Amino acid sequence: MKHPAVFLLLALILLASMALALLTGGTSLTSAHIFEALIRPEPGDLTATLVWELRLPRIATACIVGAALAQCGVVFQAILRNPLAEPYTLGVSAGGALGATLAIILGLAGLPMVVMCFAGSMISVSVVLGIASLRQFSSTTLILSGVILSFLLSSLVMFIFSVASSRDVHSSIMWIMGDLSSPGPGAMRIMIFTVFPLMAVTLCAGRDLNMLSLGDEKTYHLGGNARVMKGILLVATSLITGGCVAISGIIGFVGLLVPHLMRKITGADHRLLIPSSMLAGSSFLLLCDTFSQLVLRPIELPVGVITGMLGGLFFLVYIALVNPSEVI
Amino acid sequence: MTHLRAEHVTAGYGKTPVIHDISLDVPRTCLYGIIGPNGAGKTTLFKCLSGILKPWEGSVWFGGNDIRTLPRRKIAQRAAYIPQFQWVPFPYTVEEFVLMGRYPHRDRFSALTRKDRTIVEETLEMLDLLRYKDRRLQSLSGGELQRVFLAQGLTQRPELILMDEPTAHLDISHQVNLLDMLKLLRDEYGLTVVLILHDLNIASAYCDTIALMSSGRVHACGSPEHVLTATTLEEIYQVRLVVERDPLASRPHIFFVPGKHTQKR
Repeated sequence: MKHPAVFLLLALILLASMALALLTGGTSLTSAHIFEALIRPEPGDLTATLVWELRLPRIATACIVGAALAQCGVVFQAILRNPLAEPYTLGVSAGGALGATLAIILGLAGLPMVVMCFAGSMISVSVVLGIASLRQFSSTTLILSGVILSFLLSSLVMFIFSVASSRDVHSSIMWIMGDLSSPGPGAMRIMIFTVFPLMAVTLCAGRDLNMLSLGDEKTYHLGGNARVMKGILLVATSLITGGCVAISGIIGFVGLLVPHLMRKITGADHRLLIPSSMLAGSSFLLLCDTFSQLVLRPIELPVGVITGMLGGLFFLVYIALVNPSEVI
Repeated sequence: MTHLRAEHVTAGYGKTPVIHDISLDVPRTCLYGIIGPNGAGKTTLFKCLSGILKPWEGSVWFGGNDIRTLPRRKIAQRAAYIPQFQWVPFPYTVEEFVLMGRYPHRDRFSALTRKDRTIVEETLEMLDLLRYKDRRLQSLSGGELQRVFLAQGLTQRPELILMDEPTAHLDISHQVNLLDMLKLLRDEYGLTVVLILHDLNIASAYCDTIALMSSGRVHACGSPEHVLTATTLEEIYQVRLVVERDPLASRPHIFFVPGKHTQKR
């Protein structure tokens, strides 16, 4: 398939997923009512409130977080030259979550909490890369240290939960498992002022990632400055991940599944892989979120549970079936 | 005319110097071979010549400019470096990979032009890779991969190519094929090619000038006849050998004598 056709198809899939998410959800509403509420919202109308205050913000959040996580996956994979790297497997998400949990327990909300999330992700990226640069690590060891860091940080989160008051714990647990349902006005501000601009910067980094994926030396010989490029991109992706955690908790494996699928479809060239993964990441998270609301209705599952199961299965199959020489 | 010159270059990693006081002149439009035992400092010298490693002492001159004063993108527009082994973790197609050679000539936001694509096509054609254009790198054999790496370097349209052991892991037909190609590039396009080689006979058959390195110094430098003598090579490689003239090109040909390792006591 030619690339414009692929992008058109991805856009259509995204539109379809949005429509599906709008029409279905925890509460049954008829499509006629929903259209009515969309076009002529009347104040006080229940359907209008549901559509404008719950479903649409939720759709927007899922799209942005999905695109952001997929993009972060692509960037981490290219920079670390490791097809299994992504915010979740590297422990970056867990770092953000620890920051956020601390903030919640300390009674911080809004900007201070977001800053704690950012700090948490930045620190865990530095730790993983620090470990990796101590010795020349193989790609598996890098992922292993990321996963171990992730365990460590999750245990710290559990520790904080176990000594905190129960009221804080429940809301934190729901959120930490991945929750797109209640992006407050604070979350919207995070998206607009930090996540969006950083995503835009990263979107333009296709050719830098192409070079970096060939290694630092080859980057130099193609006229690029690997240290500067890596520095900017790592800070940007850690902050994007931190922002995503602040908005919606830990949603794992989006950055692993989506780029792998897209490499099969648009190819490995990062100039195309980044935008296609962003589009597909939005659709993927949106569909997962819709599914999480429908599967056990009226109980709503955290979306992180769905992506975690899908991603975990994918990870296992990938390690078990793929010929190592093909992986790398 | 000198194209690339090293002047009293001393360099290394950490606190240990690997190469000491190396001076050499690479003339324009030639095949320049660097040979020597493992650990002689060939790759370190190469890193200095390409500007990625800064010499502790001395300097490297590229086309009359101190390489330290040239921005890396300017260097990349004029010189290509093909490392010994490139590990590419992602399934790029041959065309995508080779197209990256045009990056030094294009700004981030200026799209690759028709001219860039023509250059890529021409290069692939020349290296007999056009039919592999849409194949993924992972599906290619060692010899094909080496040609793809060369193709990426050539799409930079360089005047100088540095190649670190391009014939390692290649069978004899791919070795000859690759070296013939480099010879053609020298003759037709006036390229300067500097290569690290392990196969002394290949070096002898193809190189205009050979520099023999040992323990971080240039031990001998000059034409193959001058450098590849039994006395010199036995001293450096600690192996018994016989040097004859090859009957066709009358260049030195080295025969190793098995079981005659002459380890110094």
